[in-house]
Amino acid sequence: MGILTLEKKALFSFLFLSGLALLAILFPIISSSDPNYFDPNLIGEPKSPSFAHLFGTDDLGRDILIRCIYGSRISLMVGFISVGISITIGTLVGVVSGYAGGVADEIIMRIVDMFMAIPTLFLILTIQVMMEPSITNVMVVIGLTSWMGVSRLVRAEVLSVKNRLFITAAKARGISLGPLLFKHILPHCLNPVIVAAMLGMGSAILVESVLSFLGLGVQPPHASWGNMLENSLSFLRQAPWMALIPGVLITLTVLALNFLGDGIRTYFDPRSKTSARH
Amino acid sequence: MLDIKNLKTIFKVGKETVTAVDDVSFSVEKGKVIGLVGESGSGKTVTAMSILNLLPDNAKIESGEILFNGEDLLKKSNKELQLIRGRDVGLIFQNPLAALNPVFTVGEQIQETILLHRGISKKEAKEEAISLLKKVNIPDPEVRYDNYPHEFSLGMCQRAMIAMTLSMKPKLLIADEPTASLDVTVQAQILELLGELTEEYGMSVLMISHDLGVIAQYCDEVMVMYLGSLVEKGSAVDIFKDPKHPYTQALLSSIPIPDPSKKHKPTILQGDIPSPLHIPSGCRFHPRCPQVKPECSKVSLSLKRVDNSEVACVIYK
Amino acid sequence: MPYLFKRLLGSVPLLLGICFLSFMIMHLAPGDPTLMFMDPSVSLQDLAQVRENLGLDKPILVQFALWLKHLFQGDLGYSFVSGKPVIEAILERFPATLFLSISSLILILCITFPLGLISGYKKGSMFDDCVTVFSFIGLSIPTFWLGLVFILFFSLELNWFPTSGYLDPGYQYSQWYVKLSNIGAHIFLPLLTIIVGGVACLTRYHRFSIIQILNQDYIKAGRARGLSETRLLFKHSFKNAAMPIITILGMDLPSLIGGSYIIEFIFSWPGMGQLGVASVFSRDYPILMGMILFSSILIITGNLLADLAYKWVDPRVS
Repeated sequence: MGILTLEKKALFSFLFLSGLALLAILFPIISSSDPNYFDPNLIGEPKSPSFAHLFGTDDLGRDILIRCIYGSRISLMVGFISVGISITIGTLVGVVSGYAGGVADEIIMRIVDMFMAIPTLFLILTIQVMMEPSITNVMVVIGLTSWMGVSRLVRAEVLSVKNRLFITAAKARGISLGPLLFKHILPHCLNPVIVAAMLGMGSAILVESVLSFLGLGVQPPHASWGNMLENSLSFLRQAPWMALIPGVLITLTVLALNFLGDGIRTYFDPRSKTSARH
Repeated sequence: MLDIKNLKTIFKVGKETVTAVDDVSFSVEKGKVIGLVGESGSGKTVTAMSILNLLPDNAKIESGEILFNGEDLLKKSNKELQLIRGRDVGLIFQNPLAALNPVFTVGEQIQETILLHRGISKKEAKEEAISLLKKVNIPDPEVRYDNYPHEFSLGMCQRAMIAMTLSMKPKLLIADEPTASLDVTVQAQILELLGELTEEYGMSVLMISHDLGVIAQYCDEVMVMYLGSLVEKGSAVDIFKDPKHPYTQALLSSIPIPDPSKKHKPTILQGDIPSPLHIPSGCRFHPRCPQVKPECSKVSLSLKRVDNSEVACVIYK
Repeated sequence: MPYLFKRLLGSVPLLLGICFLSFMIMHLAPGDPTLMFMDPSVSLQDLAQVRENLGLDKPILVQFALWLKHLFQGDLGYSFVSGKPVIEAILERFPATLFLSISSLILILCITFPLGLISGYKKGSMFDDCVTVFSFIGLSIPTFWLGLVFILFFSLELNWFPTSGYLDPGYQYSQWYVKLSNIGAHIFLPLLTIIVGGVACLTRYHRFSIIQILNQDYIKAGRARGLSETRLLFKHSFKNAAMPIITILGMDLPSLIGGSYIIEFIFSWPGMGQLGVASVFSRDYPILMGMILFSSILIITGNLLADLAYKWVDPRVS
């Protein structure tokens, strides 16, 4: 690639994400700014970005920059925890399915097929409607509905590894099933799983934004990028920055995760290095 | 007919430049079958692909001339080359299955080639394709015409590739390890077929192989390549009877002789073929040469006539 | 066609599984599932009667069987909001959704194929760089937000397109071309929004497979035979590169469908998605359940079509 090599894109993405994460973690500690502090004079009159409020203020006179920083806490947390859940489930299912083989594998894969045939976003919406909307629910539900891709990946890796000689050799040495799976087989699945985790975090953040946008995720007055967008709907013409800023943040964060995932994939996969690298 | 002069082809690998073919010169005369032998990675395939400029993106012909009937192919545009490819020079590949497009029938692909180079109707092209399939001994050519490549055996795929190449009656056939992926019995059949057809069509052939048996059976002349340069060149009889270069000697001695009464002691070469990234100075073979001399790492060598062959080695002065 | 039959038979357990999952989710719902099968005007005594008839005291599997029985009779219950039978409410929205998805799919494919082809052929060029960056951004943008931005820019700022709906009031009885251009103006922005995401996703795969195909021996062999680059690219790569696209389309169908539902909602496009999202707000569980089932059936059908298309393109699949 001409100006931006893959490595550079991944590096920038990494820096952006670490910066965002640091800000999200440290800001509430070093600053006493309250995301819900409002300027009573500005209620009903959102102000465009200025020196006093770099990202402007919203309809309740709250500072959008501070709300965005608090919103990044939510987005990153949703990304981490829901991906943690989906990776754990996906890996377990994939390892069991791939290693057991036979009928068990067949049944598990049909169940995976079934989950894959359901429009996930809609399933999540429905479940959220039936439960009290809360941030915990959002993370659990996203995690529970997005493990299928990981399980297929891990299963494919396990299948390709389990008949290799070093596994046979390990079995011959009398290594029991647990260590065999976790010490000898699982490490081989690590790279694709890391990549899947990066991409999965991106899509979890997107799903959270949809849920909060529809009022089913993080509830006001807590700030999240998604519910800031929901809030912006009624002021689209009057205060477009209320809609633009959180959306750009979501896009940049997900973009960084995608670039990072792609960079890691290319780094680990020699095949894509020679054929598809720029 | 084909004269290659001082060909140098390089590859870009990351930031490094690898010289895959270095200062190679040879010629192929009309009606002759020339063999190009060497271990894998010696640059034989790159040499062959350089002729038609079918190199991968990261490769480049740095210098030299490739004269085909007196015209330098390197000076031709891609459009002009397209006319020469196929019509004048045919190419068959090591893996015939991969060289056929899996989503079109074998017949369609032969027909397409015929239509491309000759102004005949589709129907005539189909008939011609069927007769060519028959010519390369494919049973039921009318039925096989409508088969997809995956429905052919590897040997049949190679026959079909040969048929496709013949359809244009090329003057030169480049065969890149044409039998390497085939079973031994099929290998013999394909070689026999190639032998018959080159005679019938009066083609010249550049046969690339790592298999000395194949070369011995089929070629008039032999060139031995090591790490991108030619080390020995001569008639097949001379080279097999009286190899001059230590590398050629080692290669020949590695052929097992299926006669227990004869004492056979192969020369075992030390080490592996070096990486083309770190080509040894002087004679490229010197780190592995059983007859190495102190000056070997310093001299610059070119092919010199010794008896009936040409050899690049300091032992012959 | 025995293959089709076999595949159809294979989808039965899949559908049963989805039904069971839907049923279990319904048990999470506040209230009880009898409500879903009832016309809201039914009296309380009747409701008690129905409860008994449905056997809510029976084990869950029996309940599931009874629920299935209703399902097979085409009875998905009644909407809490409109009182209409769920199946009717969904089916009347189906044409608008079908119209939007098929036109977006066609456009996505028409854009993806040349884009991926050129991008892969000119790997590393300026054009390829732009396509790659575009597709990454397209993949990362939340589609509903992109829809909002389009509304903000094209409708509110420039006033080029209407913000929402399908047909402006008063156009129902206009001449067909007036009507068509009005529909066209309405569909433009939702279509654009869906296309950006779809093209971004597919172009990446298509570019990658073109690059891999161009490295294959049969392309080199074609060159060696004197085939022109155009012929190699458009004839010899086309079908081969279409195969992964078919697979991806089949696999990504759920997210494509899910994504377009939100778009329908943003632009008030009167399709199933809008109904579905509206039902989220009105807590119209029966409609939501119906939507999940109906969408799953659509996805399974889509996968089946993708399989058939694959079989049609690739002679090696038997």
